[in-house]
Amino acid sequence: MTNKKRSHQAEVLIEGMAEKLNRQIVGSLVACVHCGNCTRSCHYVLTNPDDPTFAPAYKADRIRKIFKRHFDWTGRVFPWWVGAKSIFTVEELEELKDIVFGKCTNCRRCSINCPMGVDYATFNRMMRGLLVSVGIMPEGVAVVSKDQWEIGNQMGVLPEDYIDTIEWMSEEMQSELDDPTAVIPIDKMDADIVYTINPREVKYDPRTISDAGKIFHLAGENWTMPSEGWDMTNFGLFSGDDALGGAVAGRVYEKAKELRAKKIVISECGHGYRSTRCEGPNWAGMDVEIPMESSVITMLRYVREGRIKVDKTRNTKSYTFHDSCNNARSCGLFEEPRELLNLVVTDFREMYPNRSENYCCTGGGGAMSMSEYTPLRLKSAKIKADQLRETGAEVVVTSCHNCVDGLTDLIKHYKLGMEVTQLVNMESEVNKGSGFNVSIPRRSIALSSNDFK
Amino acid sequence: MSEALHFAEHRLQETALLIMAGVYAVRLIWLMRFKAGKERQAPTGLPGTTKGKGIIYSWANIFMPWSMESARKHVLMWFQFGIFHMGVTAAIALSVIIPYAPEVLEITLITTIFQVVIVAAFIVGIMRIIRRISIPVLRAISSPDDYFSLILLTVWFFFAAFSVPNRWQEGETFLLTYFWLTAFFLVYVPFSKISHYLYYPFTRYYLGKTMGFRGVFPLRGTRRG
Amino acid sequence: MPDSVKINQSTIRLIKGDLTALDVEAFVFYARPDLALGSGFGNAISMRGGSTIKEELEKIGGIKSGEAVATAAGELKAGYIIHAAGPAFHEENIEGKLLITMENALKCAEEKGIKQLAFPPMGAGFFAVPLPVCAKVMIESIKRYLSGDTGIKEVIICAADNRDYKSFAVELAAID
Repeated sequence: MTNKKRSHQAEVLIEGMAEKLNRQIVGSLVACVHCGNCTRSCHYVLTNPDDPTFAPAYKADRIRKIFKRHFDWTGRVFPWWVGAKSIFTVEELEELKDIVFGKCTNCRRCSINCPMGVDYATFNRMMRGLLVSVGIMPEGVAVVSKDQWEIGNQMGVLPEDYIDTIEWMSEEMQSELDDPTAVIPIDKMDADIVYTINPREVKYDPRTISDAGKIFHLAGENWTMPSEGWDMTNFGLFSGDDALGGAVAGRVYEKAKELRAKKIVISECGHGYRSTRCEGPNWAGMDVEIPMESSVITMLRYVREGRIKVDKTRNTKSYTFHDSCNNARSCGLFEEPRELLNLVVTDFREMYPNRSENYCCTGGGGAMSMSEYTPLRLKSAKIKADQLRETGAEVVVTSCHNCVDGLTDLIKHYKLGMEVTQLVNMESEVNKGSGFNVSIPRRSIALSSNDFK
Repeated sequence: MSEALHFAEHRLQETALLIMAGVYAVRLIWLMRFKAGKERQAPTGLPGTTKGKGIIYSWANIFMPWSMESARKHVLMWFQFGIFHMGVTAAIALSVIIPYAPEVLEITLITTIFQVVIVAAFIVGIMRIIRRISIPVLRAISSPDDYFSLILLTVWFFFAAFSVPNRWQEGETFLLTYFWLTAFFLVYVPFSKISHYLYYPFTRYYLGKTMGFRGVFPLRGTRRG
Repeated sequence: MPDSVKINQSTIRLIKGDLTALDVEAFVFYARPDLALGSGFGNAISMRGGSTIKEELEKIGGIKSGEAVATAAGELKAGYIIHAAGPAFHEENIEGKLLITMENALKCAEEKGIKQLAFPPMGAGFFAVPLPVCAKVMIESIKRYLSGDTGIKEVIICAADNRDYKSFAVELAAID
């Protein structure tokens, strides 16, 4: 037994772990056989083959050691034999921080490639949350989390700036469509759709708001945007802070309920979709009655129902599609964006691997906000760069704002010369009113998502 | 048959099995005492994906090397895995067949199959030991238990292979060692990584349930466009 | 549930709103000892209030945990900001430290002759003070302070969302 004195933070972390452990996580913590299969699926290992500390099993063991030492009797009785080890100092906690935040994007690729079904990403997120609870986190995580807790969105967009931007985009839309009725309604009661967005759209890419607005308008949708509870992103997913996750998601659900909206539509954002659609009700402890869907599904429905017309001949460049990890590997959203993309472009090239096996954009898991890990992130992006280059496409389309940033960064770093765009921009571009209606292919999987039910 | 061998084949095995069962039961109770996660949201994904289908797919996953990239791209490793585990099954079966149905081992075809499988597993065991020692990443993730468990099983295969014909009249050393090793193995299993097969149904159940509910399992992985 | 409670000649009022945009005499900012404004409410103070607040804080330099200091509020609607550095991230004795911070923030306002003061849920959220603990300690502390001899006529608790609001409403309702 060691006589090392345990810091208060380490004590709190261990106590917190006892509360966070559930059967699924415990199963994942005890089941690893150290077979090493996960190493072949992780983009960090594939691009840093000589450094074993990137192996998911190695990283997971940093957490597993603590678990074994405190919660598993094999580790209590024979710690050395089973590799159990406690945690004591703030320095050790800082080291753990660099692993769980800096060496893993929680992409879940190793989880689906583990023969034992060890879901490392889930307990990596748990450890992030425990470190955050004792104030140990990358500076970027602290900045963004505080913004989302206190301002209500993760980019600190003030309410007046948000409203100004929406009104500006509304005017742009009116002038572009030359239609005075083409407005973005705010806080309209009893709308069929309440449209929630990523604050990145307000701050850096307001065009996506007006592009979405155009689509809703042309589809004759009864829609609105909320004045608050509009941020569907959720830094709780990345920071592991379930309380933040629940508070943020709860604001979205409560506002939609207050507006008596019939559906929440989530703009194209992988982590936002996962957080609001799939995780939020669990974090918030709320049974949300209002249905929710990705705007990709909404747009696809408009095309299928003939509510908007698309002319694919307007997009003559070559396109490929990047699946966001959160959409594809945690929410099963991968066929619909492809179907929609195929309706609006003439030259679509699949990238390999794809769908649930796609590689992370390498900027996932909040990595874009952690500047201290940027050199490592970009080095580890080589596998993604090679994957993109092999498609030979001029444009990479994705349904995730975070992936847009991650991909843009690596494309610049590896000088790939590709453009990055989202489906909403593509679709808005092709339905500018040519009046040309493309025939809609109905494959066996068409309109079959659970979200269409 | 000596009294020592009779004891090793019967009382020793029964005692070891009882200990293993007892520890397993404690282990399962311990695991089930942790709260189960709950998914409140509506399901996502394609309708062919449900919780139930996800669970079944998850359990069957290991038998479908094409369904997992890590197995698909390294089929040889998958075959090694298969042989190793078939060897374990055969060697365990042997510990029941010898004391309770020795006549089965009088059929040459059966003894040949058992010996081929166990010897193959022994060879894979040796390969796995070399792999674990020589590959840096595997060294980095290995605990003493990882090495010991692997060596234990490989040595056990060695003695099992020689015990298959059950010719105690020609000497009891291999049989005695095999049965004592089996007993040790049974007692040691719940304390080691070998107990992974106890957890396997649980981890894969929960992953399958989550992924099925979310429309990820059955996996629609890489497809040609 | 009541959204306000009378204590002697003063009132505790619970609202849902935007703390830094409130038209009040002063509001409390849950600060760090180095008095850096940072993100969240700090970002809103910088953006809406202008650079003078930061300049004033730089002159002060820093405070100890539990202490409070007042600055002008620049171009904000409020007249003053009380910067109070409370406990964070599950440090030891959170309740005791939060009580001291509350008391110092109220005293600081009193010294400035402030009659109307708005609080956020102190330390809840980012700083990880559990919301029920925060609500209990804050209401207890405000109630105790207003029961004494004070010039503060109104204390507003400004909740950011329904989750915050509900926790404080429960504590407010429990006041005899």
